[in-house]
Amino acid sequence: MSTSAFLEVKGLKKYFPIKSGVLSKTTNYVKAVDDVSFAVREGETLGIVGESGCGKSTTGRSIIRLLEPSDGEVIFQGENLRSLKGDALRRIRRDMQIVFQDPFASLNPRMTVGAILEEPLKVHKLGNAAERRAKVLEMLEIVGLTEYHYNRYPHEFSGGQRQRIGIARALITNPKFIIADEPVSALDVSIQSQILNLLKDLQEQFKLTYMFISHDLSVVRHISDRVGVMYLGRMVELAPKAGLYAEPKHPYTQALLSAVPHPNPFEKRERIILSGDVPSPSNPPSGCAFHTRCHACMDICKTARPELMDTGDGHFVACHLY
Amino acid sequence: MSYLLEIKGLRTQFSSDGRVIPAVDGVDFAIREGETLGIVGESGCGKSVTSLSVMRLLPRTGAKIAAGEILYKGRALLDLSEAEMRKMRGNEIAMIFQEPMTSLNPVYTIGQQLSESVMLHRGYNKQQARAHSIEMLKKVNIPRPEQIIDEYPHQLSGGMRQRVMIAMAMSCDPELLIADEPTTALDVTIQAQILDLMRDLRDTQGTSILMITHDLGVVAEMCDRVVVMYAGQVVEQATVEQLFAKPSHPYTQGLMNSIPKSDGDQDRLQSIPGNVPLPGSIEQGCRFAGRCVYAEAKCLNQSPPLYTWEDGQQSRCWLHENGRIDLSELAPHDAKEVQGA
Repeated sequence: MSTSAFLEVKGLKKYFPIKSGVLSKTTNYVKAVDDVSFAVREGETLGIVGESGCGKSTTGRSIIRLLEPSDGEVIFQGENLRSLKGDALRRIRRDMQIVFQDPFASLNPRMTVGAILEEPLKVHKLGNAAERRAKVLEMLEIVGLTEYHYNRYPHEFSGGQRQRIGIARALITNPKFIIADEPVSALDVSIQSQILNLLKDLQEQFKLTYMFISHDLSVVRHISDRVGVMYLGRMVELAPKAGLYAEPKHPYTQALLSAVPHPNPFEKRERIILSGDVPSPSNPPSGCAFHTRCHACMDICKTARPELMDTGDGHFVACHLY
Repeated sequence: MSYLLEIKGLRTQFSSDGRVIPAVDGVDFAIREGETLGIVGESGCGKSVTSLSVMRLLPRTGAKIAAGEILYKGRALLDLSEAEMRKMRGNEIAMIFQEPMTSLNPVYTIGQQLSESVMLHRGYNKQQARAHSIEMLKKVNIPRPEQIIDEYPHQLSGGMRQRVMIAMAMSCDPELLIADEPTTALDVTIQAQILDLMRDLRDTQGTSILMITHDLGVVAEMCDRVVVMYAGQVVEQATVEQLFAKPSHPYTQGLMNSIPKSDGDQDRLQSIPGNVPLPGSIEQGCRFAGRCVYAEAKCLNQSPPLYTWEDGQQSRCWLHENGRIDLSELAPHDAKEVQGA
């Protein structure tokens, strides 16, 4: 694994305006992603975890500009994505693809599987009709489907099979980087493990780099090399998987990890139960966004926002305790 | 041994387009007083239909309880009139649904919805009901209950709504609480709060809980005994310790191996090949045979009986035909990797 920055995200922000009144004046912003910086290394899987509304999906979508970021830079293999337009942007999107969460909503019900998989090739003007068909059939095979499925419609497939189609669609342009946004959360456990295994195999086969977004801490642990934890639009901790799960540093990460029910009735654990709910991202707390629920809250936490700092061994944490 | 609820040979069918689909196909289990029983299974295995059958809340058209008995404290629930059943629901048997967003009525305040059951079952007047509702909101740790009681569901977060649902279910002090995926729609930190609350209520009120879930982590933390369902049948029944130490059905074993372990790192997960079958699609043999790594010719032709052992564990698998077998010592028959089937 090389350590060169394959993808670098610097100060990424995505604010959604809240409009009100007859003139639809912007009265406030939902700060879905608020100044997030991190790097993804070539060949690794970076997991992003967090609870609903923490901005993990918005981060993923802002990176490939499915959502236009409000501020910040995204540098992919030396090119600043935010300055690209039209053809140049389309060309670079060939190298970065996304797999969506809901395999029921992300496939067009009126297109056959063949047409769905061929579309990216057409958009990017790759190959002639015969070559495209051959490529689609090859891809179906790779994700564990067959030629038989080519002329079928999405409704004829189960959830796991649809997710395989979603993955095939993302891979068909030979991308280098895949953003997987909750790719297994809509699936039953027995199917979930099939898809996770498939993603791992494909990564090896095609030397892919993944950004894997999920709310499920054990799934992220299984698939990732490094893991970032988000809370209220901010990255609060980012560390190699082993360090993060063995020794979580941020009080939020500690609470999050202890909240996961373990499938082991013989083990009795101490649990940190957070009080209250996640505050609204339109009106985040001052200072550290977590201070309202933190058991180790100090005076400084209420006023100054902690920066993401390296505490050694590439273990970054944004907390005044360190 | 006193059972609070006994289900015997329950068969619940749905009919559509002239076809009969057996969603629940001969299910037996019982809940003791004060016990938490988990029903585990993947989507379509019949776990929710089982609970709706107990409450007699199945859709009026198309669904039918074709056979079986449901005994609550020895009373046959299926023989009760609708009026008698209404006296049971919310009073003796209460239910929490999965979706706190859709199971509260958006046009009534929290207080109006909470008061309904005590006014109906206990004859409380408005003031008494309101005082009782505030008391219940306090019990489920809702902050500012005097104000929240006049708010509408949309003003509350998901976790708060689920607390209101629990308050509502517990307001008549039921003996049996049926919780259908009560935390599935919630974030983990909120899930931990809700499970903690349910444990608390169980321990202080002595309520029996029927916990329906697909999450083995939740089972390990909450349940005393577990029923594993697959394609409308009970395939395994065991205490939670037995289940996690020595699963006796290949499906249970497969489910356990499918979840990423929290200790140590594996490169690949073991998965169960294939898909969950549609209810009624398998007519012959063991319903799990098509996905089972131990399957033999017999499994495809003959349905296995539910073997029961002295310690209470049950398994519906031919492997135990000549005496109980420890699955962890078996080698998979053919560890073929079936993809996408």
